[in-house]
This record gives sequence, C-alpha cells and structure tokens, in this order.
Amino acid sequence: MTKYTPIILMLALAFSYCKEPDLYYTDNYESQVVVDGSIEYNAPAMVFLTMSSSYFGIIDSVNLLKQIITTAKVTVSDGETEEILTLVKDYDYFPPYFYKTTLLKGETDKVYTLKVIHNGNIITAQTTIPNPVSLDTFYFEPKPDNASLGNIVVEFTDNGNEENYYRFFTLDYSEVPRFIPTYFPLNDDKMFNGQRFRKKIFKGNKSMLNREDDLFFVSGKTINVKIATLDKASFNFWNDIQSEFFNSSNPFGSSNAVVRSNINGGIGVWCGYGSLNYSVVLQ
Amino acid sequence: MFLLLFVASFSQQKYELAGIIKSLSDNSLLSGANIFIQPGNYTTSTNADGEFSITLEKGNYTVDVSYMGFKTYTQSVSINNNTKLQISISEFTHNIDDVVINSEVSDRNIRSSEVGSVHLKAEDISAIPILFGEPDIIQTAKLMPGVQAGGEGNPGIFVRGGDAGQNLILLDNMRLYNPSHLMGFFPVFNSSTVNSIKVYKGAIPANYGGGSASVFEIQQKTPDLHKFKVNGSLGFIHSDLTLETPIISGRCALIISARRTYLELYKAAFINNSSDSRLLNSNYYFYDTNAKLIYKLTDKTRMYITAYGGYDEYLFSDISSNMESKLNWGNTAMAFMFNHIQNPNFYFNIGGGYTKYSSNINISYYSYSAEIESAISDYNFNCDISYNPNQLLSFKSGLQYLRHKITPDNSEMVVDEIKFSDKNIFNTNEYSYFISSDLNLNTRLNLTSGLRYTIYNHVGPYSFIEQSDTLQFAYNENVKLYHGLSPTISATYIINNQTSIKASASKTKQFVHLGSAGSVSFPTDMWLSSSRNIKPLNVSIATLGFFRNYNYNMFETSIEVYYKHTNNQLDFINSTLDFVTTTDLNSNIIQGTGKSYGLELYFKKQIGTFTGWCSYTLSRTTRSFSEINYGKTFPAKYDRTHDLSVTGSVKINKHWSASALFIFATGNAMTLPIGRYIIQGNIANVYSEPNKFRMPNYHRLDLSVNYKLISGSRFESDLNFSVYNVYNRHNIYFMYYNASGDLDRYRFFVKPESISLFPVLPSLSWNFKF
Repeated sequence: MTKYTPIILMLALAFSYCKEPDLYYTDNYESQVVVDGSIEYNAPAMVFLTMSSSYFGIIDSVNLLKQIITTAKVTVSDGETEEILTLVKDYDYFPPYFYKTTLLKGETDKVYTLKVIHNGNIITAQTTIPNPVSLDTFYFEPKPDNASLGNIVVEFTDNGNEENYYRFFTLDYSEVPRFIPTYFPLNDDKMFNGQRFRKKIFKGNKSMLNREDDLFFVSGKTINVKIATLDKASFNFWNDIQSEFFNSSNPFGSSNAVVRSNINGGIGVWCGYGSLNYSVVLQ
Repeated sequence: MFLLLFVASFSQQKYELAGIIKSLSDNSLLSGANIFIQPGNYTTSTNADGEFSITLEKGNYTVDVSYMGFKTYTQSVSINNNTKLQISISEFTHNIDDVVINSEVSDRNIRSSEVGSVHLKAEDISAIPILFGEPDIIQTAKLMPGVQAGGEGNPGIFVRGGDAGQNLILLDNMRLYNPSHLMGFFPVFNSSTVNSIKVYKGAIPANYGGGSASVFEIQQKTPDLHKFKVNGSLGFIHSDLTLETPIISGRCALIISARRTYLELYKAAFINNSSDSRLLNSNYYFYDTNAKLIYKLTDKTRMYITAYGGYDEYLFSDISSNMESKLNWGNTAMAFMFNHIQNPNFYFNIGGGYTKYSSNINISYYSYSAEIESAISDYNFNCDISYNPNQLLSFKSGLQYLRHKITPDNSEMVVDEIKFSDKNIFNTNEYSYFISSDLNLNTRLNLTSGLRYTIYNHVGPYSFIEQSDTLQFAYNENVKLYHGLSPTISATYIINNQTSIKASASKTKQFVHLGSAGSVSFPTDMWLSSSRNIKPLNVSIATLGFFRNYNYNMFETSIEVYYKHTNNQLDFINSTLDFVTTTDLNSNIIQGTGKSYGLELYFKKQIGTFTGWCSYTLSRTTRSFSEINYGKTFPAKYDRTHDLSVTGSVKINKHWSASALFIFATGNAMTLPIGRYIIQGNIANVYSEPNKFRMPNYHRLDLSVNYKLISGSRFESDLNFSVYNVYNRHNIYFMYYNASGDLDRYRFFVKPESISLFPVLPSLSWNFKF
C-alpha cells in the first residue's frame, strides 16, 4: 500500500454518487379498486367505487372521472336476500356516480356481505349494523365571546355490556346537501363504558383537501346531527384514515402507519352504521 | 481469565515512577498526555488530574511526554527508589519556523488497545467553526467516522446503524438520557467545562452497560486547586460564565458554570402588540448548569462530586385559533465518587448518583386537551478495582447496581370534558458484574477482553390485564426477569511505531429502550423498559481496522470496517402522538432485527499551522419487522450511504485564526406516497415500501474567524465571528406532498413541500478568560 492510498480512496469514494434525487419520480404503481360503501340503519346501501391512481398521474376533470367505476356488478346480501345494486347519478356527491340498493334496507344484527365484480376481479367485504344509540339531549352552546357562533352539545348513554364505537356527522342544507363528519368525529367507549357521555360537536371540514377549520355553527340555522354506531373494523379504518389526513404532513407522525381496511381484494371500507338523525335549531 | 492472574511476576525489585504533567504557560494540569518509557516500550497516560504512575524495575530510562499542541519533552530518569517527577511542557508557538517536528507527537491511535474508539480533546473541538461563539463537543464527535447526525433539527446521534436511544451518554459518570437543547442546535454542555470526549463505537468495554451502539464518555475539567479562574462568553443569543475556585488551596476546588439563552428579550424589544400574536405569546429558552468539586482527602484518596442540570421550555400560543402548546424537557443528575490509589498497581473507585430525564407536552385546542409526561430516573451505585500485577497485565473488575423508575407515558387527555388518563410505571433493578483484562503478549501484540453479566428485573408494584383478569404485583415482586452475558474481545498488533492492525468482536445487551414514534428524534421520545412485552436488545458487532501514521505522527490515518447485527430492535407501528383516541402503547410496539455494515476512513493532520481532519463513512443499515412491509427487509430511517466531513483550521498569526467545516451526507431515507385514492371527498395516500425514497443530499459549509484581542498570562479575550451554512443551502428537515383542491369542482393539486430549518446564520461573540 502506498503512502497516499487512504487519501485517494477517501476522495474517490466521496465524490462517486453525489447525485441529487428528483423529488418527482415514476413508480410502477398498480391501481386497486377502492370501495367507499355504507349501509345505514333503515336506509339503502350506497357504494362508491373508484380506482386508485399513481400519485403523480395527471390530474384533471377527465382523469378524475376516469377513476370512477361505473361498469361493476355490485351485490349486497344480508344472508337471506341478495340484491344487485343500481348505478345512480347524483351531483351532490363525489364521485357523482354510485351504486345503491332499491329494496334492501339496513337492519341491526344482520351481517351484510358486499361483492364487487370488476374486470374479472372479485372484491368482497362484510359488515354489521350495531344497535343505534339515541341522544338523551342536544342543544346549541354559544361561544362566550360571540353569541352568534357556537357548537352543539349532545349527550347519550353508552351500553356497558359491549364495546361501542361512534361516528358523528352534521348536515347543513344551506352549505352542502349531505352529511359531513364532525371535527374529531370518532369516539370509542373505552373511557366511558356504560356511562352518560357528553360530546361537544364542532363543524367538520367538507374535505381535508381544503381545510378551513371553521369550527363553529352560525346561530339561527337548523342543523341535522347524526349519531352512528359502527363495528370495530369500520372504526379502525376511519380512525386510521383520520390519522393519515392529520399526520401525513407532520414530521412527528409515524412513518409506519397503515390504514387497516376490511375489504378483501381492494382498499377502502364497507361500513354499517346504526344511525339516528336529530334536527337541532341553533338558538 | 482468572488464570491469567497467576502470570509469573518479575523477580527483580520494582519501584514506582509517578509524575504530574502541567502546561508551562498557565500551570494547568494536562490530562491524557502520553508517557513513553524506553527501554521496554512502556506506555501510560495521565489521568484527569494530569497524574500518571507506573511500576518499573531498577535501571536507567528515558521518559518521553507528548501532548497534542505541545512540544515533546524528554527526560532521563534513573530508577533506584520510588521517584516522583514534576514536568511542565511548553506549547507550540504557531510561527511557521517553529513547526519543525523532530520528535514524535501523539501516536495514541496506533498503540491504544481500544478498537473502534474516538478520543477528542478540547483542542480538537475548538478547531472547528463555532456557532454562536460556542464550540460543541457532541457536534464535533458527530464528525467522526461511524458517528452520524440525524440532520438539522434532529439532536439524535446514530452510531454504526444504531438508533438514537442506543448510546450511553456519560458526563463524569452521570448518565444523561436525552441531552439536547433546541433540537440539537445548541451545544448540550457548556464547552468551557468540558475537557475531553471518548466515544466507543465498536467493542464497548465491559465496565459500561446501557449503550448497545456506543458510549460517549465526556469528562469535565478538574478545577484548579491553586488558582482562581473566570471564563465566559457574551453572545447575541446566550451568555455563559464559568468560575473555577480553590476552596482549600491544594486540596479542594470547585468549578461551576451556567448558561442561559435570552431570545425572549428580543421578542420584548422588537415585537409590539400589533404584531403577530402568535409570536408575542410564544417563547423558547433553555438554561443549564454544571458543577464539579474535587477534594483530596489524602494523597492517595480523593472525592469528586459532580452535578448537571439542563432545562428547555418551548411555548406556542395562538389565541385566535384557541390553541396553546407547551413543551419542556430536561436532565438533572448528580454523582459522587471516591478514588483511592493504593499504589500504581492497585486502585479502586466507589461511586453513586442519581439522574432523571423528563419531558412534558401540553396541548389544548377547544374542547380537547392533552398532557403527556414521560420520564426516566435512576439511582445507581458502583464500585470497581483495578489491579496491574505487572507491566504486561492489568485487570479491572466491578459491581454496578441501578434502580430505574421508568414512566413511558403518564398521559391525561380531556376530550369533550371526559378525562382519559393512562399511567404506566416500571420499577426495575439492574445488577451487573464485570471483569476485564488487558494483556501485552509481547511488545507487539495486545489482547483486551471483558465479560459483563447483567440481571434485569422488572418488579412491582405493577398490574396488567390478561384474558380479562387483572394480575397485581406487590412492591418488589418479580414481574419479569432477564439476564445475560456480554463478552467483548479485541486485539492490537503493532507492526511498527507508525502502523498497527486492530480487530474486535463483542456482544452487548440493552434493557432500556428509546421509542421514537415520529420520523425525527424528538425530546418527547419515550424511554421504555424491557418487560413482559418488550425483550432486551442484543447487539453483536465485529470490527477490523488498519492504522497508519505518517511523518512522525503529523498525519494520522485509519481504515475500519464493521458488521453489526441487532436483535429485538424496537419500533412503533402507529404514532404515539395519536390524540384522537387513546392508543394502547403496548399494542403499538413491535420488535425486529437490524443489520449494519460499513467502511470508515479517517485522515487527520494533527500538528502545524494548518490542522484538520477528513472523515468518511460508507455504510448500509437495514431493518426487518414481521409487522412491516410483509416482513421484508427495508432500509433504516438513518441508513446513510455516504457521510463525509472535512474540517480545517489555520493559525494565520498571533491574533488571527480561521476554521472551516464542510459536511456532505446522503439524504435520510423516507416513505412517500406512490398512489392515491378518493374516500368521502378526501384524498388518501397509498405508501411505498418503507424508506424506499431519499431526501436530497445534505451538505453545508461553516466558516469561523477568531481574533485574539488580548493574549496575556492574566487576561485573555477574543472575538469570534462565524457563519453557519455559508452558501445558504436549504437542507430539508421534513418533506411531504400537499394535496389541495375541491373534488366537487373537479379541481385537485399535488405539490411537494419541504421544510428547511436553518438558513445562513452569522454570529458574533466575545469570549474572555482570566
């Protein structure tokens, strides 16, 4: 070994791979069928089907519409009856096309099996509708510093004999004609099992894509509040996806987080809701 | 090993040669000076008090004393009774003419039997550009091969593929669990009290337990027993002051120092009420204090008492959005030690102490509030004896006891007026016994070996629920017990005065883990105990190194390769900062394996007008967990292919000196979305395999100029001007993709966003010493 070998070796290695990686990249991402399906207590099943796409694919209205699956065969069975869902068009939703039952309506204590056949792929999932829980009381609570704004307070009693999971929604016809999950919409009963629970309801974002975090309702309006019970698998999905929305742009979030899905052969959720709706006049 | 005790001792009569090495200019004691005695090739070095002693046979010897930055001193000694030397050595004056080296400077790297270790002295630290007037010992250690920084804003240290929690950081025998100030930007320790740092990254000597990847042994200065000294600095952001005072001249002395930042003064001066209320109500400060007392009870016995306290507080308040968050963290530690030197061949230490690290995060947002406290505290007691039966053999053996109280999470969340609280406390006992030996088989071959046996016992009070039954454990009742052996062996073969080969292998165990949930190392990372659900970490490492000095040790070079395997590596599957619902900590913890291998190159010019070093590491670190990536191996977060640092400092004349530092490192690995899907009007991401992608490479240049205003024997002062990140490189702290738009209107955008922390930062400070 010559006298300067270590120095030469050091310099050669140091400058060999100094290439800046590109922030954009192409990856062989394989699209999957995404299920956003629900069946509510005493309501028809609704199933939105889309294809997932590569992260850096071109985004325009044409491509967004192309992601929507309109040619699938979708069936829902409650163990006794089976119904093929019909494709309907409704611009109040995104995507504006979805599949809906016409006869079958959600009942508690039944297992609902979803089956989607698309391009030769079979996607299946199962869910249940837990017993709905009624609100004992609900009222508008004005902000101390500005009485024209405020939040809604709801109270209900948890069933102490089982694990319960809750998701809350509000509907304000003057803004968006569909139910929107509230700000922090999820609760499990680990800490209030069998007790009376008081929840403050703040207005949720229509979409996490344009978070306004405008949390207060305007007094004088009439708001529909929905309390929905759901099973553990569905709760896990919504909980994980919520963490994903909050943490994906947060350095202190985990880099190993996974969204737990109850869909076989695809991603997304098939969720049964034991839901009840209440109309609250904000005054 | 015990059999080695009976290696035949010499029949000839032996005497003690002891001495004390001082600096001629200011009489300060020089620790770590090398003593080389001929004939016989005997080597030793001075302790923290500048003292050495060695046993020699009757005869005539030549004693060479070398110390970096000082002229080599040679003296002939005739040994026919116990002899004591007082040697004062003079510094190199940095005129070019003077730098004619005709005798050896330090060849410690060649001769030392420690494999995979780094030894830095205060001089090395002050040779790199200093930020805000203060050199940083930990940052300097991160410039060494195999020791890497996590990047800006990340105080973690990652040694040879180990995680931030796998380092044992000792400040004068006090363990500090998570020392950092302002995300690693400020030095953890007041540098004016630091004497040296030693980093073991390969074979960890058997007397250390608790750090499976490395040991950082930081030694504070021993106060001067005769002279009162003051030393301090005044900067724009912080100031510090160190006092050194004899209490009983020649017997007892104290060094005490304190630092405090005052960013809040700027806030008061520059931000008025009409400004951003978030700034007005936000605040950050830290302070720390160090103290060390030495008391010479007798000529042979001395007592040391050391203490450290550091505290950081960060407050963010946004009244308009009703949000307030407060984060604080800190270390408190104190230790005492009795050191008795019966004779140069037999001495012992008895010590003990207490240390605590705690962090507290407090967030409130409308009807949600959360307070999470995480803490670890230890009481420890240890004793060890060192015995050198002859010049060829030395032994060290000792006992250690640690009582840990670990509270990973003491959390209280209020959601909709309902209190959720969770408190886990782990009380554990850690008993260890170690023995190590250092054997010179001949003048060329040295063999060092060690064995450490540890019993780790998680004891009550504790309770847990198993199949709906609650199991209760009473005070000190056994919950879970682990035990195991940690062997270490290393060999050094000296080819000639300037060349050696070293090899080592070791297995270490670590019973207390650090859980980092986020993608950056953060003060709120929690310490976790090995227990029913968490197994102890096992690390095996093998190292091979070639060391060569040139030009009478003016240039020092080394090449080392290592391979490391880790068992029961800990990680989380979900975020611990999940405020939405309470997360069961145990259900989030996963354990897997880790692997790391690398090549480390080091080149140093240690003497002359121009000094500096260049260190380079080429490495690969992977992890495997059955719960992640379907069990397939993936790169670790801090897998760093290339890690290069180059430093240089030049003494221009009596007044001016300058230094520069350049760092280049491969970007941290990260997981990125590769697909997206629509769910209830939102966009959700599908992620790549873990850590498949890389952040852009990290590089940065720092420069610093020092002007000596007054340089005298009584008063010294200098001005320092430094620039951090000279070419304003936007090194990425965190990168993500931001999706925005309105799906109802068929509008949707994806934009890569990145956060960079520190732009170009000039600073000026005034330092003084008298």
